[in-house]
Amino acid sequence: MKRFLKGVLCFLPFVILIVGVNFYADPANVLRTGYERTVAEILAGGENASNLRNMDDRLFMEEYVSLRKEPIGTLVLGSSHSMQITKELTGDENTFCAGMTGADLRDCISAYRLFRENGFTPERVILVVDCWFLCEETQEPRAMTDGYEAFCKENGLMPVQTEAAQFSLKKLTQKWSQAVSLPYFQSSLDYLKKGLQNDRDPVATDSFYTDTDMRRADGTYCYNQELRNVQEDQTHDRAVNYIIATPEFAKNFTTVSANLENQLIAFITSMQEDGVQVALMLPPFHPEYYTYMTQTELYTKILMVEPVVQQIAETCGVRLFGSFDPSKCGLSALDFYDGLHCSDQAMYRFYPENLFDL
Amino acid sequence: MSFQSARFFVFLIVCLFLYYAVPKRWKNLFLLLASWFFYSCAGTAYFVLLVVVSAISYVVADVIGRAKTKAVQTTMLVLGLVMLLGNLCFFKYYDWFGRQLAIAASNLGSAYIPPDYGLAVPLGISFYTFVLSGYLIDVYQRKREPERNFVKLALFASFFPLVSSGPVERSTGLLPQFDRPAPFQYDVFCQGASRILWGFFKKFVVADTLAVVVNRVFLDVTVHTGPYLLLAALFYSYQLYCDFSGYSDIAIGMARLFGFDVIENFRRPFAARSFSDLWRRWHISLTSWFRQYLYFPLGGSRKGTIRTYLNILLIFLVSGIWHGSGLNFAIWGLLNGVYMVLGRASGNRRAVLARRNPLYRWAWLKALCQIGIVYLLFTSCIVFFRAENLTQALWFYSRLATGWTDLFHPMAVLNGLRNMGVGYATGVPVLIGVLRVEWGEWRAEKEGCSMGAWICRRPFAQKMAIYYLLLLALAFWGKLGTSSFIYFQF
Repeated sequence: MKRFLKGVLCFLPFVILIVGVNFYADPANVLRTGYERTVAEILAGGENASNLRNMDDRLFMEEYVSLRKEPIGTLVLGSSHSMQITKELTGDENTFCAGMTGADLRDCISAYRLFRENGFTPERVILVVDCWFLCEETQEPRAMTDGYEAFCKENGLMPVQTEAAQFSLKKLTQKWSQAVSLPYFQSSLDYLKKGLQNDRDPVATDSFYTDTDMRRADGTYCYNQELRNVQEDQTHDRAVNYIIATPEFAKNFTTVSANLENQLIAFITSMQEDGVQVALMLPPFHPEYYTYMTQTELYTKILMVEPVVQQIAETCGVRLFGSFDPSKCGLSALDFYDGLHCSDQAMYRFYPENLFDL
Repeated sequence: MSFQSARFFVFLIVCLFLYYAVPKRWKNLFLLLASWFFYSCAGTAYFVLLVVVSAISYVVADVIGRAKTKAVQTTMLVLGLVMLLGNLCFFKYYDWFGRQLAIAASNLGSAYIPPDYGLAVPLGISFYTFVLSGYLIDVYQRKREPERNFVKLALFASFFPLVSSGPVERSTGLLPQFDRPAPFQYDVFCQGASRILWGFFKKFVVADTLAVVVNRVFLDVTVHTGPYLLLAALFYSYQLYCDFSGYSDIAIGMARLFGFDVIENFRRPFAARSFSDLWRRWHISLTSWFRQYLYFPLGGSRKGTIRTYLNILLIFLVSGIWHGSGLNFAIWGLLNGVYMVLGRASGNRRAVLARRNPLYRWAWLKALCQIGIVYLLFTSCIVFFRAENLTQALWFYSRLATGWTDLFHPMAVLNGLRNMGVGYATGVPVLIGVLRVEWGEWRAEKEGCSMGAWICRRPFAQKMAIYYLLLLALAFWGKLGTSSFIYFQF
């Protein structure tokens, strides 16, 4: 036993190196606290939060809703694909984008109920429906589920993967596992190489665009200059990287779930019963990625989500705009930052005039 | 649970701690429950299937052991093998058969579409199929008695370090070790841990760095020319070796942590100087399984030359088909078989020519030439293995002769390498990694021990230096994010 412990102790310097670098750099802000509150305070104060690093979008929403004072005219729900729908685009000064990275249907339902329960029932909702919304195997592990569980209970629906307690434990262990994580160590080294550790706090600004990542007061996301000013060969490379990496939603997608279809319909209906006007959007993929999807068996079932959402829009009597197919949105490769995200300017090409007759 | 996940690490530590803490008579049961827990994380339905298959194999072997007549024994063996292999074929080939049926029906003017059950290939189905099939055949051939203890047999079929992708153990190898579980021994534990670390280095530093380049090229082979396609193929051969042997090192190392000796799966295959020697060193557990349970029963090399060649071709064809239902896998297998047959047929003639070859005057040059030729032959087959389908493989070969004049233009070469994704970030770790792997395994082979044992035998300072070099390589260059092992899909 002594020999075994002595052996283990020999590796302590390595562990200390990893943990030390991860704690010092912490590029994704997973080991520090209070970051989301700071960003929420800036946005609630009517300013944009630039120099943005990675943050917990769900925690940010909870902090933000407790600080906001003004009513919400148009609420945008969805993943990062929704985060380019600005108040300038909608024409409504009281637009707020409650998009969260990787958000699924459960996130959207929970976010809507969070705002409603805090007195911010919007007049209009734009729900950006991603392909992973309707498959039970592609649900986001980080999703907000409290509001979703309550919604399912009220409507007699079967909730998907809502072991909340297990998730809280998972979140806690995830935090500490990042401290010893080797992939996180590599990100931390990269972060330190760029000298970013001294410049980690969000900065309030009125600028619409900045050099860094930014969350605007209307909740939309402004990517950093390097990502925004993308050349054609770079956007091609980024699309190719997505294809090679095969995102999680593509690896895990099995079939469109009737249960989730029903939940989406029930969600739209319940918003309409709250007096909310609803519109749906399908976010386009990069043309190269979309072409690859149409030619690859892995993605055939994923592309079936589009006609399903079209049917749902018809059933619920709501407007649907956009498409997974970028050509139907009039977009080219240069309208994309990477394989999945179109630019804020590109949104103007397919966002309908008078979506809500404003 | 992937081997590189934090969840698996916690699971392994807890298992080790509890395994050495429980009394001897409970160790096998504990290990079985742990293995079943591990397996059930991949899906409850498939876990139930594993338990049912294990139970049926237990009963079949028991009946074979008790049967008085050969007819009954043979019948039970055939039933058992049909159940096991039928189960494997159903999950692996149902989709392919369904597609062929639909195409045939469409050609006949019918709109028939076979039902889509959304089947995924269960984790480790090949492993436990081969393991249990071998066990039934061993019982039938009286090489061992039927295992009376269901816990041990079920553990043999589902042992968690091996169930994902082997090595394919024999009933005469691993099963008897469950009769005498070893107490904790520091040296054995150290060997296991060292082997695991070595496996991680091979897989996540060397293999996954090579994969960056290979995946980029095979994403669209039509945009790359001959030299770069060849380089990608050469890289892929080594990537596959490091990926699969890395997994094997991790699996064998983990078994060693529990005190078990598991069959080796690789023995420096790229040091082989003949094609047949390569296949004696590559995926040893499976190729020896095919040899023992398929090649020898077919007559092996005892039924004349033509029959021997046919047996060899059949074994490799079956091996190819086992890897996948696509035509490219069948061709991969067949091509390997053809090379084996040609090598065997031309052996004497080649020996005569070798004696007259001026290059072979120097032993080191002879070795280099032979190793290079074998590597190229292996690589020529592996293109079919890597390609998404036969069409892509044929495209690859059609473009292989293009662009060789670019080699005379340094800037064109640099651009070509950049397009492949070869730069300092990939080139340096790959070069150091490959040299490290080959040198390390050569040293271990020279001392007649495994890599884990070789590391443990070093003086303390040298051992710690090796550990830290491997750990720092993993920390700085390891791609531990979401990469999975290539052979998990088979």
